[in-house]
Amino acid sequence: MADQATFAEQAMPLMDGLYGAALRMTRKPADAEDLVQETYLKAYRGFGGFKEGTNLKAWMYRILTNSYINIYRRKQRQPDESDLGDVEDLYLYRRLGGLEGARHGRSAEDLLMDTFSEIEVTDALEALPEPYRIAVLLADVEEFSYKEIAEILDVPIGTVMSRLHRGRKAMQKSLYEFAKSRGLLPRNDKAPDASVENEVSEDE
Amino acid sequence: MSETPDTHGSMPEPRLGGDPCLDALNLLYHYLDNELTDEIRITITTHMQCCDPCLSRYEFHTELHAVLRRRSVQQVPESLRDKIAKELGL
Repeated sequence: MADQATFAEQAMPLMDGLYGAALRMTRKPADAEDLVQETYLKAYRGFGGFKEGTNLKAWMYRILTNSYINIYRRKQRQPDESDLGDVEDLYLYRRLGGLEGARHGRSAEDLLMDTFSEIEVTDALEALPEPYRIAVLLADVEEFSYKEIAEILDVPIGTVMSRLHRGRKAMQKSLYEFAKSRGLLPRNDKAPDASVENEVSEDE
Repeated sequence: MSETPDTHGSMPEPRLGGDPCLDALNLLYHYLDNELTDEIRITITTHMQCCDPCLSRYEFHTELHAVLRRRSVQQVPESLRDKIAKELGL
């Protein structure tokens, strides 16, 4: 039986991550604070039912996600799936490859850090329709496994993979649009990586 | 959650198809997400060590992932941390 001291010791250190996730979900600091507070209250009340030795982090994110969906989903106009621009795999890589080729000797790290600001990266994530945003957030920022995400969201693993795949492509498209609008990219849209055909399959 | 029975169905295990460049491409996200068996991971790693296009693609996406992570780190406001601790009597 999980007790109060255990909760303080194990759940409280997760707060930075949960707050960051809440911020990406609600997009507003005040709402994110309310959501984190709600999550901790619920988790604390329900902690007796938490099985010690199982995954507390995933359990907390599940409460966060469910609370978000219950409280906030109806309040906001959510971008829906039709807003999700569908582009080919490796979209950004293929396009930025032209830029990379034009500036020899630069690492992918320098290229990306120079090309995209913090705001653009978080905007690209926040612009995703909710199911894709949450999946990408849990995988890329919180580094949960596919199986953990499936359990947090209560969906099949195949759905997790499909949301990640589509969400990541849509994010890459947003990032590319940002870079293009700032005139950072060459006009040439030729794919430098066309030697290998795109055969990654959809599964939803 | 590893103790929870797998009630969510399972995906076909990622498999190697024989063309190393295609495998590295098709399994790129599985690789980055650490969702491959050791055997497949090692096969792809070995291939990338001698294939520049596959390595470059991999490095780009690793870095994109790292930039997203780095750009997303947040610290919870101290006032909120205190408020929650107080409310829970911790």
